[in-house]
Amino acid sequence: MTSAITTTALRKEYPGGGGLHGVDLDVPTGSVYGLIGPNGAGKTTLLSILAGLRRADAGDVRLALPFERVAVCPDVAEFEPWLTAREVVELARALTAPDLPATRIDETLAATGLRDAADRRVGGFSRGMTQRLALAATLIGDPAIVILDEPSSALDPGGRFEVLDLVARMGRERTVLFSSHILGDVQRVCDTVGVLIDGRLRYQGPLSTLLAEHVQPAWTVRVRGDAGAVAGALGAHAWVRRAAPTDLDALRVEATTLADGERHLAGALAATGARVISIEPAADDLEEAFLRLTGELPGGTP
Amino acid sequence: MSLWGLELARFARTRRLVPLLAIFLLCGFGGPALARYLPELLKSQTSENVTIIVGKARPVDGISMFTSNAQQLGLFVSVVIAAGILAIDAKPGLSAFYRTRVRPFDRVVVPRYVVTAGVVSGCYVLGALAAWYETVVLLGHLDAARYLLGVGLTGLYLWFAIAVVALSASLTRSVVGAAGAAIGILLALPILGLLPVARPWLPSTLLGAQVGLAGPTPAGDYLRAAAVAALATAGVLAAALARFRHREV
Repeated sequence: MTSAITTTALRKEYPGGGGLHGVDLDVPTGSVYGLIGPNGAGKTTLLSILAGLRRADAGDVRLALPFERVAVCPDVAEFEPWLTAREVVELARALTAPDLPATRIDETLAATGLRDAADRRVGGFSRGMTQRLALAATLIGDPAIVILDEPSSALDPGGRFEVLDLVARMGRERTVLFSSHILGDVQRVCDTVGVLIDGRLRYQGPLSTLLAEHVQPAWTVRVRGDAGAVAGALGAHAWVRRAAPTDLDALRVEATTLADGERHLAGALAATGARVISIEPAADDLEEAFLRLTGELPGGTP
Repeated sequence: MSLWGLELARFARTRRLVPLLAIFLLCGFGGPALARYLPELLKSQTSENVTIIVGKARPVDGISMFTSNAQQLGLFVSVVIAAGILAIDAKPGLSAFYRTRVRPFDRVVVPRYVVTAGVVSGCYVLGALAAWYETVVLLGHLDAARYLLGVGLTGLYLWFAIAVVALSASLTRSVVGAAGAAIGILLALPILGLLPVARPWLPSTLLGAQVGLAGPTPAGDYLRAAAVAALATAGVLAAALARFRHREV
């Protein structure tokens, strides 16, 4: 797979030890790459360097496409307050892709949920509406690479849902590099992740691999009848790390590996003769993997 | 909408044009009138026991009254308005909008500088024409060619002053900082002009051109200051552009 964005030994030193300390980023073409990390990890610094807003002290940045095909949406967007939303998007089109038809302006405003506010001055916009406008101004130029810094952080739950849906749709046609500290958002839309902690990439690769390596594979099983007896039967298997009832009709099963659990759990339950109502993954979330990577949960590599 | 259209719209659709026009036109119409009626005004404000002798106002007095007001209050307001426009990095989000879409960044700064300096000097010219009209009507004849030359030289100074604001904006990260630094630099020049050897070379000397040319001062006396102002404007603007280009946001 080719790379849309790569950095090599990227360094940016700030007083007090902050910044980036040798980041080798590799964003595959066509991926939705989630850059996660705690506040102060260096996410915005890294994206700012990629966007050309800051300079690295050392290292290389390589974009597979020219500057004109890359669009950036900053975390705190601002616009000329006396322009209307339509004029902002029109200005962005004039600056990035003047050859694109003007009809795209209304299409883009509609796609970002701003159709009804198109002729309102942006000085009166809420932060959420400003964030949507920033996305519209980012997308209007039909970029091949989109860099989004915390695009959903200012939005209410409904707005977040819409923006994440938009990001997911973007990923079908473009390469998206998406930073966020909301891990659920990243897990929802990203196929590749980078975990940036203290200016260093602690993990980079497919989301599924991160989850497999760092999340304790566990399932919640609901049965009709005695959950304790089923847990006891499952606990006898070598691939079961732990099985314990959590309620009269529910139990939690932890496997030694994700693959073993996925391969054997259904059969083992069938062998117990239990009447199974449901089996759900219990803890396959990015938050757990992240906390293990940061050392805040046991089993990580801080 | 182009970046040039954006800057024209900024003046047309915000209230920035109003104070500029108001101040320069008020000074233009009011300055010569004040010079003409100053004796009557003073007489009406004093008691019968006090005698104030004021000579009859000449055309040059009308122009002097205009320039002294317009070049102080008008210049101050112009610098503050220009700082608000040229301190682009005072709003990081807005700065990022332009910096991630326009390269080189000169394409953003140059229209802002040219339109702002053009509007400021245009408003000044309107005020100066109003002052010329009032002076001719109330105080007497003014040589039009020499007067327009004086207005042109003052306009050159204003382009220099706005370039100084651009440089200040490229060195600071706030509107107040940009305006303060620019005012400091522009105030320092007349102080430097107290040195007789420096005065003919300083751009601030051009601020006296309108009054000087309304009187007997030869136009050649302003040649060196005009040349320095033109070169300094180009140099200061080039330095500002270089600073803006290399600045991190």
